[in-house]
Amino acid sequence: MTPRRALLLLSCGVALAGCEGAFAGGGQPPQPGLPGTPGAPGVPGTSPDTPWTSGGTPSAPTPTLPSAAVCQQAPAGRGYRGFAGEALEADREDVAAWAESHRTYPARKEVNSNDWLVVTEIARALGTTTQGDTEGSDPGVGAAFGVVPDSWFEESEVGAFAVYVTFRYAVKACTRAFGTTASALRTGWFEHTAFPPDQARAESFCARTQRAAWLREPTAPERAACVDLALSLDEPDVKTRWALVCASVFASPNFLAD
Amino acid sequence: MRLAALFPLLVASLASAQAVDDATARCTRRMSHLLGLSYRSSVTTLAGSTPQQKVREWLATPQAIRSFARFTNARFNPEPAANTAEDGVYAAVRFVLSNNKPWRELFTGRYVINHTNNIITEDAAAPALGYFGSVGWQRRYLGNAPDGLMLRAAYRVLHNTIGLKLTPSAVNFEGDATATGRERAECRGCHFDSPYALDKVAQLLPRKVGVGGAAKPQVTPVTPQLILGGLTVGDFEHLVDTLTRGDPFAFRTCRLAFEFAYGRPESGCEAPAFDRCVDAFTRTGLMVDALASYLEDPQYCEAVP
Repeated sequence: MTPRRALLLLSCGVALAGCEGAFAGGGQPPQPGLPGTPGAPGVPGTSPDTPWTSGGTPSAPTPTLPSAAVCQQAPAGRGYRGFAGEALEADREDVAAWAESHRTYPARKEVNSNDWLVVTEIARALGTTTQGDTEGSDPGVGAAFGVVPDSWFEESEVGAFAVYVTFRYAVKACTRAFGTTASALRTGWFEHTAFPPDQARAESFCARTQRAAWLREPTAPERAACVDLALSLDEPDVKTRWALVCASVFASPNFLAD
Repeated sequence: MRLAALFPLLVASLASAQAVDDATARCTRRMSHLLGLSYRSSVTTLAGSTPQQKVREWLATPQAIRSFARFTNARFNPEPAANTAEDGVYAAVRFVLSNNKPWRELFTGRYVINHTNNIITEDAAAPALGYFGSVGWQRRYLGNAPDGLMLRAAYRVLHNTIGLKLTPSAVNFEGDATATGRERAECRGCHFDSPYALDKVAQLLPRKVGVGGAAKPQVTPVTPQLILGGLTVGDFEHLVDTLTRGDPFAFRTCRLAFEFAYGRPESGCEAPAFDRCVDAFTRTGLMVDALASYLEDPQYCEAVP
């Protein structure tokens, strides 16, 4: 949590009763500094028949930093219910509007340049250049914005996206491998991919692929799971079907965490 | 994990992986990933040896040294360095390992670290403080104590040598960094009363002089401090020399090596392997022996389905 965010929450925490009162009391008049106040009498967006549109946004001055007073007078907005009647808006954070709309500088280099973006932006704003500035390419500057420099170490965290990316690439690599003409790889392994999976072919293919990827014999349950996938996949193209089976072996923790 | 790089490598090397037995291939792959080596090259260089017979040869490669230096750097600092001058740990670890120096020299070597390029030279006239003696490192950990005590540096000295871990009190809302603030009940335990009292340790270090960007470390006369469970420690060099002898230092070193090898601290059931590391490290003082005690252990390459 940023210090500013912490300050905001603290401010709203102090004024919590006021915030709750505003919700309970229904609509509030539009607030200076806030672009529109859905839920207030006479304001577009108040009823389901008059949805809020950007065209109805009143001219508003530049938003100011929030304060406890702003939080106290927060607009109620409409209530939305889920299928079980739960209030869908209940998890909204109790902070003033537009207080958290800034984004930090991306951790990347300027296009067609070896300089970090933040460095080139500072120079641009000042009407100067980055010529001769070591900070332009200093790994420490990149590190400050989230790039892991060469002198640093972060433990990999393999989440769902990494598994997906692995799987997607493995499908491509497996498909390519099926086209190999090396007899050592065809015999008892890729030769099966020319035919629809059956029990024997699936067992042979799975065992060989798992062993190649994991560098150990698969256990019986591991092999059975692979065979089951090969026999049950709803994929009409035979090669693609084998490729999906093959890729599943590489997307497993047995490969990704060796 | 650089998967895009990993997959072509794996597919291309399946044949060579199968040329050796699975256990050998698996062990080689695990070690090559750990040490930043090419799996295919590592398999090729086996030449009839087992991967665990190659551990010391592999640990001596520039890639493996860089890998361990990166890891150590990330354990000895809370975040990457902001510039080259602050990156002395990474450079010093590479220097120590590349030159087969005792690990304690990382902290006690008479080194001069050029803060513009991190090239290290040995100088008999330099203080025996390893990278702790570099101005870049000292500036990084000047801290914010108004009285100039380098409390952040003091903590880093204790953390890096013996693994001390302290958590700043979240109760000190006033943010009072003065000695008065540090004497508050919730702070004084770590700052004054503990055997590792930060204020006392910091008394032995250089002082921060100046403010803002002009602040810099400056060596000043120090008063011996009674710390570390009743030892009278005379100055910064004496402090580091004391910290890098005995069980706490060996424990810290073998914990660091274990975390590098396995990505986590050792468990209670793994104590025998840890003890073997301490024995090996105590005999030679070399980090390579600490690392090898884990990597040469057959357990390291066991497959766990």
